[in-house]
Amino acid sequence: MWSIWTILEFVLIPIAAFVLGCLFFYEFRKLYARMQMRRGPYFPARWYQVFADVLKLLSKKPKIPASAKKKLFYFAPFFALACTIAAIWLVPVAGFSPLSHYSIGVLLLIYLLYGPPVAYVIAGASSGSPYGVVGSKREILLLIAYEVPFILSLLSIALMAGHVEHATLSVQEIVNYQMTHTLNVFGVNLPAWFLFLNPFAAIALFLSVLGKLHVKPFDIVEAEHEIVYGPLAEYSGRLLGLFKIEGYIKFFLISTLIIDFLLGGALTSFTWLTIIYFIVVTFILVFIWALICVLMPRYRPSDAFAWFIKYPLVFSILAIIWAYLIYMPWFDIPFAQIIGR
Amino acid sequence: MTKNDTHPKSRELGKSLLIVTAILVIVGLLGIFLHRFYYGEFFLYEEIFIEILIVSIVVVVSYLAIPVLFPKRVRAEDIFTGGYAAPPYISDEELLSPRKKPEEN
Repeated sequence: MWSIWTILEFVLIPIAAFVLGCLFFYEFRKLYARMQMRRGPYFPARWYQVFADVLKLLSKKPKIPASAKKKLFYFAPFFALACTIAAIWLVPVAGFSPLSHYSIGVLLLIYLLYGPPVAYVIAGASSGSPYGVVGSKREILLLIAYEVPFILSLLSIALMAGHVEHATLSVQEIVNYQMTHTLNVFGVNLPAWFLFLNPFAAIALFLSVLGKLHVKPFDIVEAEHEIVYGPLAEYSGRLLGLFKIEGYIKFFLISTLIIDFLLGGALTSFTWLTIIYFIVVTFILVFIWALICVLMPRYRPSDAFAWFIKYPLVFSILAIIWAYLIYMPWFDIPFAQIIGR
Repeated sequence: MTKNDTHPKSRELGKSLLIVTAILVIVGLLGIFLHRFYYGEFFLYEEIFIEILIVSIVVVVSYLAIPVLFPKRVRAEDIFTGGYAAPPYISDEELLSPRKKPEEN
């Protein structure tokens, strides 16, 4: 039987993810602007600029193109938002995790994260706009390019968390493994984060989420200067607002996912230290994404596709091999040891 | 949109996408088959191949869904800001026909 606290978690976690996602997205815009010697969102709205944008969109009536398939056009933003909210329940956020104990949590997470790209494809194709179709095709191209390394890197971590023989697909067990083990390198005890235990998976995961978030140089799906706004070109008002909310929650979800799978994750009990740790690490991740955005020009679709095949895919295959080799008795790392506490 | 309207580069990209997807389907199917043949029981390595197969199937289905969902006939007035670009702002003729030279008197 679920307690009132669990039910509250179901309600509060998506709201908190949206609020934090908006704040971090504001920070992202601000950093991006400052790095380009601009001011960014400044006056009259400051930190609440993103909230104001969403509120404005939600208060407006959507315009539906006459040539659109109306049911699918309406369905796509709700589907994307539902999948993202369900995904955030599976990931521990600073100690709060209503569904992270599920034994197949990682698999559910992978399937739920298919939702937003598929919704983008439906949105673009059903809108009846050529820009939408081009954006949808680009989304599919990007989907196969980043999804395979993303899945392989998550599963390589799942393999390592159970010492291969007892591989686990529970997100909570993956987080617990990092808390209950240490990595002894030349006599110095380091936390057994998968960032250190499986650096190939860390690189593959970090590179593949760039495609998932559609940040530069992989914002080819939306590419305002080429295809207006891609699949969302015909969206306006409330429906566009729902897509925006989904984007902000996903922004926070992905950074939480990186923290949980690579950087030790949340502590099991609620502490202020955990919350501060989450906020600081997310701030650093957002800073890195903003830096990448400023430094890199947008790739062409073919280049983006080739890049994902060349680097993240190779690293993710190495991550799987590494996850298998590291626990083999004949493969002993000379300078390091994994110790269970 | 007919095949002739598609840009050659876009067609090439579509081809390479389908080739990669086909390779992934083959890898996934072979992996599942070989894993079953050698190990017999379910293990996380089999899950990796199943996931590869599933992602390629999602991609193929989504790729095929686009021409099914896209309407056969699109009028310029219907799109671009949700049909609000209807005349007098812009018309089909203005948008789709080549620009006429101003008549000389």
